[in-house]
Amino acid sequence: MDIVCVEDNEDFTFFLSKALKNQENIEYGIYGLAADALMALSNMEVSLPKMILLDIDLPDKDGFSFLRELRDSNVLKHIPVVMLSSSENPRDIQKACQLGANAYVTKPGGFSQIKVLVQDICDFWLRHHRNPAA
Amino acid sequence: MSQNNMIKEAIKNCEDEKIHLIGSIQSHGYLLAVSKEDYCIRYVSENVKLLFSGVLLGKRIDVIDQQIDTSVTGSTLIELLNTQLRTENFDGYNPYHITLNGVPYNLITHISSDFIVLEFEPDSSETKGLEINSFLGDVLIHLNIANKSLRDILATTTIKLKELLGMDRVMIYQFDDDWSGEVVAEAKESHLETFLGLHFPATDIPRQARVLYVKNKTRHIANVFSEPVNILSDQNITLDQSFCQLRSVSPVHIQYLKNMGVSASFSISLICHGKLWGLVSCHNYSSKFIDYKTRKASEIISSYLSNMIELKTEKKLSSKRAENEQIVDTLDKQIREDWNLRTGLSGHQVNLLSIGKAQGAALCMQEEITTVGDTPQPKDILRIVEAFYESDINEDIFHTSSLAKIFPFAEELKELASGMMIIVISRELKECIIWFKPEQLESVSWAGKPDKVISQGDEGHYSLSPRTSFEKWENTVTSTSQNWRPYEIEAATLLKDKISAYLKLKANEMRRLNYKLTQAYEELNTFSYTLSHDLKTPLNNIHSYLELYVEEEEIDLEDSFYLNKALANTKLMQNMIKEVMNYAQTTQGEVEFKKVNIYDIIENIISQLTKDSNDCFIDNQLAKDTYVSGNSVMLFQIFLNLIENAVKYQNKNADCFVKIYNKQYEDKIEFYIEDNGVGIESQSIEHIFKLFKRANKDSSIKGSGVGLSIVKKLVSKHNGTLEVTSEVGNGSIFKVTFNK
Repeated sequence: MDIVCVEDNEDFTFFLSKALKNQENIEYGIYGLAADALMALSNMEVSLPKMILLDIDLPDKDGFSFLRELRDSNVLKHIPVVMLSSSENPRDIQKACQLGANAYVTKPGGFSQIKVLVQDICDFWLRHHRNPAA
Repeated sequence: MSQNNMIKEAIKNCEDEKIHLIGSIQSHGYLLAVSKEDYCIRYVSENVKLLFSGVLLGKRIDVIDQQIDTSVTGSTLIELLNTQLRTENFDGYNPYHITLNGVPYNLITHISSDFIVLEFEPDSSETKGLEINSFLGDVLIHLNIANKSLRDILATTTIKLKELLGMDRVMIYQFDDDWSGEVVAEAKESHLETFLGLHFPATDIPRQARVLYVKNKTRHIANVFSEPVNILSDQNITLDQSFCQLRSVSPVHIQYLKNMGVSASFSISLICHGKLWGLVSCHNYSSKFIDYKTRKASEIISSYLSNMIELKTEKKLSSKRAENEQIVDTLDKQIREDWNLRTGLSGHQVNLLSIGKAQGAALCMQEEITTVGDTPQPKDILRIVEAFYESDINEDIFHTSSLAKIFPFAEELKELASGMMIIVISRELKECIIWFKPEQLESVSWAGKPDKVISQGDEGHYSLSPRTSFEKWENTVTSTSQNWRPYEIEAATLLKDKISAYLKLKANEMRRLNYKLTQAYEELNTFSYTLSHDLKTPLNNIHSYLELYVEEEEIDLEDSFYLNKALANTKLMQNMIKEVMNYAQTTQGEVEFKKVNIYDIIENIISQLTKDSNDCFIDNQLAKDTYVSGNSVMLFQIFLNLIENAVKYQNKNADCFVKIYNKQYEDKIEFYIEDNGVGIESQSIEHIFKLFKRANKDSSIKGSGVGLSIVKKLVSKHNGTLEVTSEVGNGSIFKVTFNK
């Protein structure tokens, strides 16, 4: 799997998957609950995703706790995490950075921008970025 | 020496006369003083040789004891003194009846520091004892008729005392605040001219005489024409004669009585609440001796009278007091109900004038004057207030019945404001309440023109001679109001306390409201942030769906008017939400003040703004060391928005030019951002600082209408001010002022 998305807003999930489908040869999974996402990740130990797209507002736990658990895990700590949130609050951005997020992106206001963003992310994190060996 | 100073010295000399150490007695009696320790005779009046034989000074009292017939009372002089000393009771044995050479005498004793003073007076009243007792009973019953007015009681007393004393004239004399006095009751022989209603100046009864009147309540002068008899002594200190019955009289006073034609006088103090209220003053036009028992009886009557006066004035005062307390309570209630000092004190039927007898009142608060009743013009009131706070009067409650005496300029206000009572609410803010009393033209009848006659003695001292004429002399008192009554002053004091309590309450309430307001403001800020955040997501979704629809249905937007408008509006709304969040965010939080270099900030902004386009010349004219105390991020935002605006609204017909300069003052610093842009229409100027208001309707210039709101908010967070002057077509000048 290439990208794991943790996102609970159904509409945004819809746009995200549409945008991801436009990308060629990308495998992705979208999870509405942090718990589901963690479960899936622990089952993927053999082939970890190349990156995670993570929202802050989640129904079961917030994105920050998710991120903390990820970074505390020996297996998962190297996976790049890009925060994708509607919050522009500098405190949220700073917190994400402190907890070890690799990037912070605010949700765009329209589908065309979402497409551009997904394109950029895939280009950078899947095609240019080199992950340390797990 | 000026006339005035001469008078002052003369009065002082008169007041300095030590009349209790006069060293002589009146000639109708005899005086001896023995040491308390050994009964040795230390003082004798020169005339005792008429009573006793042999040298007395230095001898023990035994030397006269043998000559005295004490058979009436039974014990010897020594036995008497022993008992008196042992029981510490002298008055209880007075008078002691003795016979000398077959003549009856009253012996009156008292203690004067280390000495026992023995005074011998003729006893003319062997059988009068019983009569006096029944007379006293009769008088007291007469006085004790409850519903009699004070005036009636005083009149009755003079009649009864005249009957008892057999004097030609008995007057009751009441002191005023300034120790001048007025005859308020009189009983006299019918052929005599009345003194009733006449005023006597304060100098008629000088201070030290008043002091003695409080100590020793009776004073008898039997014959003004008799020569005083010196007291001889082997001691080097003068005998203190404060309590001496026979004490001789100051020559000035003798002259005074002689000028009035009086030959004998007798006076009794009336003391109310521990203070000399007045005197019972009795005159006889031929010499007259009043014996001890009669004097005692009249003293009893007078002390009973004092009590009656106390009771009557107390009663009058307490009913006035109760009435005023109720008024003050009502005022207090009104203030609290209105939650306003001004209306509470002046806007109801019960107002500042309900207290006492003032004709006008003014409330000076927050540089505004509210008046009730007849008062001077506000500008004159202001003048009085200013003068009061600049004077050295430190009392928080002050009253005068003659304002012009304190502030001469008030002479012209005398018709309405001769009397003034002021209570201070705040010295710092010059806030107060003032009551005014009008001038009361009062004609005062003086007993003789109260001019002092000053004569220069041999040693060059100025002394006061009593006036020689006591003929009624009329004098009109001007620039003076009725006196302020104790209950008026008390009510004002009470009101002052109530106002202080109210102001304290109000201050607390303000603090509470202020706190709530701050909280509400913070909440609103948080709320607008949260709300816009929550609105953002669905709006973004709508926008995305629209875009998707357009994309997937392959619609040409040029052809779809509705979709085009829908997309444009969602975009507009997205922007607005973004700006609201921006506003909420930038204006949140307290400013931590630090020294910030504004020159650097402007340079920074210029490089940022000219990076993308270079179509405007921005001139930073600040000195390199221009500092303001504030938050650097916020200050950056302030200048960025202002300069950005200046560049944004440039005039298409001129080369864009923006300059930033400042003016320094002692306590503030002003920054000017001046452009040659399109300018702002005057009717729009007041709106430009409001959220989402844009003066410029040119849709080609992008803007949200939030920038200046943020600037305004940030400037006020720095306790600064933001002003703008503008001319359409010629540009605008924004002025930002910060305190230093």
